[in-house]
Amino acid sequence: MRRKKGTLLPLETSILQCGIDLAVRGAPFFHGFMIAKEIRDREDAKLLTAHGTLYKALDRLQTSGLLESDWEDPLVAAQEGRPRRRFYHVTAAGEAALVRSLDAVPAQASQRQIPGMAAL
Amino acid sequence: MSAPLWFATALTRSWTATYTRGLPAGQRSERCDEIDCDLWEHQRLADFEREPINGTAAAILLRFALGIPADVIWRMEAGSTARSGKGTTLNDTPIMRIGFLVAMLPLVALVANGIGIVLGGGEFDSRTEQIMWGLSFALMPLIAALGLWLCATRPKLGLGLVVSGTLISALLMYWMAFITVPIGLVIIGFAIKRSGLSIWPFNGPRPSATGVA
Repeated sequence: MRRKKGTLLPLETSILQCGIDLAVRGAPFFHGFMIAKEIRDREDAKLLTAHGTLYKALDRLQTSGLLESDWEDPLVAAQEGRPRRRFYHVTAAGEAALVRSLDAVPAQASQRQIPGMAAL
Repeated sequence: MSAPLWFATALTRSWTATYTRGLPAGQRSERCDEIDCDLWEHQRLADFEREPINGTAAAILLRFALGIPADVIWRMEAGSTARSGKGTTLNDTPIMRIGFLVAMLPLVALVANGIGIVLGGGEFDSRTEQIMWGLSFALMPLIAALGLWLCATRPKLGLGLVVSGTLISALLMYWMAFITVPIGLVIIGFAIKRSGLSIWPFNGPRPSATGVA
């Protein structure tokens, strides 16, 4: 999808919103499935975001500097008998981009529930 | 693990392994690990919520299928950034990429047609005959598609597969030769262009292993 530089796609906005919301609730780091579930719950959707769509958006947000990520220590994952997780968190630039994005669409923004934004 | 769940996760993993081929090892393993983790978390949540296994398998399959276009676009972008030097299809110029997808379409349609016959489509005297024809219909375009994919990295082998696959497919469907032969020739022409070989495949040198992204 072609878009203006600096604008966010709806999924990117959702990821940033959910990431900030999770941070406010004490979980600043999230992995891919966690954010997919959060988006589904928030938007009351029936389906989780598709793999390709989700990880492409996460990759794009990270490339833009709106998210940062770190891989979990493989030993921790091995001890718990599961694959290692990649933990993302929203950067200050990500928070600012979200605010700008919502400001650009005031009508929609006023309709959205953004629990985390008040705490920023 | 139940069969549907195994199938859904295996398909997703195989697809991830396929579309990340040709990327730098680190980038490839990161994407594969991330998908692995996602699948694991999905199953764990489903267990926790006591979701029916078939429902979980269907959800995973749906997430996989709906994400394919984004995966392909991501791979094209990643390929042009990484310039892995392996000459994968996705490192070609935009026109070649579009050409590749267009050339793949009839081949994929023929493979789907063959699978449909194997699964019970069409009228045949016996089930064995049906399976034999179905497999033949599916296998030849599959070989051509594989050849088309390989043309960028192994031009002679790729071109050989494309030529044999398309010609045998055209022969198998001789009653549609007025359609299959021209389409086959166009695909072969594109394969020659894609392979970077001169008109006759066993002559001129290949100018460049990788396309210009």
